Amino acid sequence: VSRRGWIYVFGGIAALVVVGLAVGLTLGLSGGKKSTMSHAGYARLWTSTSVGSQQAAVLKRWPKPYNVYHDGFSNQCYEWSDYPAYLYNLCFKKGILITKSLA
Amino acid sequence: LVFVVAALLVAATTVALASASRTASHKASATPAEGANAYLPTGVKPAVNDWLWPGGDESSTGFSQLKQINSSNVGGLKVAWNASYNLPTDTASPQSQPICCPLGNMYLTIRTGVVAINPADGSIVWKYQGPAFNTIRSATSQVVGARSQVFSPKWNYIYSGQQDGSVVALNAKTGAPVWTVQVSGTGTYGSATGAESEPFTQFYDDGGDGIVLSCPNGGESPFRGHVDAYDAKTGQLVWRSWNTPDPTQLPYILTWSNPAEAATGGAATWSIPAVDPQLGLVYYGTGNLYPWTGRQPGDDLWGNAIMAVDWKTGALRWYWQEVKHDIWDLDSPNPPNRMNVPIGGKMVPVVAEGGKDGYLYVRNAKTGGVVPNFGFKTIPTYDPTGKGTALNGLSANQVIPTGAAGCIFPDDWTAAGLSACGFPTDLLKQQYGGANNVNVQPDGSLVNVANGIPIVGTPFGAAHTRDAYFIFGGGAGGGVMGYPRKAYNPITHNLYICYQGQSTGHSNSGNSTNTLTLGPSFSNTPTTPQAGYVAVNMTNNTVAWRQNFDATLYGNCYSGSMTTAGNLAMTGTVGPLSAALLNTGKFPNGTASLNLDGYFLIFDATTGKILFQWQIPVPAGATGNSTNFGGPAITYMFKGKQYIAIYHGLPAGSPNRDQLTVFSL
Repeated sequence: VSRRGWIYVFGGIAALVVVGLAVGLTLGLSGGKKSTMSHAGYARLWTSTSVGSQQAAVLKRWPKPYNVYHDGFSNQCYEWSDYPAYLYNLCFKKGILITKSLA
Repeated sequence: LVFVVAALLVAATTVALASASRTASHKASATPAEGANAYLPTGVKPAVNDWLWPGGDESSTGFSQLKQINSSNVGGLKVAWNASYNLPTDTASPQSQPICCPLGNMYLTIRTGVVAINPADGSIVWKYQGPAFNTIRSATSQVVGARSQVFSPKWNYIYSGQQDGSVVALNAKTGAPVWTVQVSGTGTYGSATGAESEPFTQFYDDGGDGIVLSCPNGGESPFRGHVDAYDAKTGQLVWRSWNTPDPTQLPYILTWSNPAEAATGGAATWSIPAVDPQLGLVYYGTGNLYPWTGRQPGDDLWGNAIMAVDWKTGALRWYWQEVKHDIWDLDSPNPPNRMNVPIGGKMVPVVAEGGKDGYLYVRNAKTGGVVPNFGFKTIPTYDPTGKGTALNGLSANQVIPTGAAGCIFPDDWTAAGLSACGFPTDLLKQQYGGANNVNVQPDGSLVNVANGIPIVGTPFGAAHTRDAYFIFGGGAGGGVMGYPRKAYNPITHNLYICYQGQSTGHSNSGNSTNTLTLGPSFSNTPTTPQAGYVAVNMTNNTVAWRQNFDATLYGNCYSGSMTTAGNLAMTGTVGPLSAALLNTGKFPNGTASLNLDGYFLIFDATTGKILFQWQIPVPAGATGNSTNFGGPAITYMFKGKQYIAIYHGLPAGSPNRDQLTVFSL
């Protein structure tokens, strides 16, 4: 690889790192507020998700969550932000969806 | 290969940054309590020179150890400075309070953001503009702005709720945002006519990164109330404690005849929590249930309750439900105070929460059990016809406190009942006599002149029957003890409570089953509310002293309380409610409005004597409307001088509708 080639390589890497920094900071500082799913898409997912469903099957249909946490009942919960309108929450116990809640 | 390496670098950088900003460790820490601080749980720092928490300290006692300003010199208090920071279009009196003076600044949450202020003169150090109010809520305005901001000394961050339902962490030196988290969805208030306040913020040091507590307000829509704990450094959600049970939570879910209702049961949290690092608990009150009426029978846990949850996990430790199966909006927005009180020769850990129903609920902070001298009694839920409770699925009875804790406001409107609490025996006549369509009978009872049906007063409203009744401490305006805090003084052992006379009326025509008219819609709204300021001795549950407010001078009381080691207790008032005063020429553009300029009052904490009063000046061009105190005072020491600060409203027509007034000697 020529000297100019290396300059291109390292320049490209530097540019990608800058992009990575920007993306990382955006995600980290915004709390993942931005979502690519439409309001209608979230609404369809919400209404079609039923209590009693298996966790793996449910999560397969939903996008990456905004928050993953344990609630005060030790349930495994996931939250999706349809900013600014809704915070959708699904909580599972032993792999079964037990509550759907708007936070 | 080069591009693969580059892509991996990008991915690694992205993941590292995103995760680094959300990683936390949480280890407990505690320091031994000193004798002078025995009123506080071990590990809580008292408010001395600074006022760093909304309630002065993590336990929200509302007490400052400062005494440069004291009962012997407070009469010489003068306005050091005042300034406005908000928008001219702001329509409601602010209910927030500043904190002071981390990094040498005062910080104040205003409706549109946060401002850092020079504590000596009120000049702006920096101002942060938050997101705009979002009308996707279907509401046109907020009820109030945020009520609190709080500081983390470890990170030098300021945390504040925002108009879009999020919480922001700001660099306290510069005002630059560090992280934001969405605490509530703005669409969850879609059916409300007015959106609620911005999420509160409370901070505690858990020995790790620290925790910021927050939650949505409201509860007038099918959402599920909760309290959240966020990592103070990163904003990561550490735990969430739901305020209604899920279907697996036995036996609590059995209090819902229809468990599905619990998942959308409301029970928001309005109150700023108190924290106890010694017991590892967080205390807060829960709000009204959704919908207000029409739910299936049952007590509906944990609506209208004091909650004590584990500060590491949010797991429930104990609860005390103040109002079962609430249909009156008699919820628990008042911030709990957590303090140790000398009772029977021992320091007893207690939590005190004031209900909108007018009762002071005092429970053992460790167990939730009964505190010596603070008894309770069971009364039937009021039902004048005997049909109402069954008709609406109400609990047959309620449990209310006895002693002074049951006498903050009248609940038994018979002459004997009023006398037992030290109120005038003709109070009902004073309150309603001659007003609108009320007739006072020779025996002192009241009837509605429109139909001759008796009008009765009750602490817990009847189900919707054809009889007329009114409830004191109703949903309108925050109830008897609303959102601003009470304050406990460990020297006098008194809890100081600003309370308002607020009735919710229900006419005996027009109301049908399962409908509820909130607000003072009843035509018999009193013109002379029985508001005031009361000191409750927490050792023996007696009224130490009480100042009944003259409705034509001080009016209602709705700004909470603050107390100091200088033997002072203080509050602010809503202002005179006498229409006659409007015609005195005092108000340039006198209108029919009944909320005029309020007073800031400072009392001798021991005797109740008013030692200082200051009335909000009415600016030129103002119309004399909505000038009052809606938030509690704070105090701080800055460069060797003690100041007292309180944030309040200004009348319509003023250049700005908010003002921070700061006093010093």
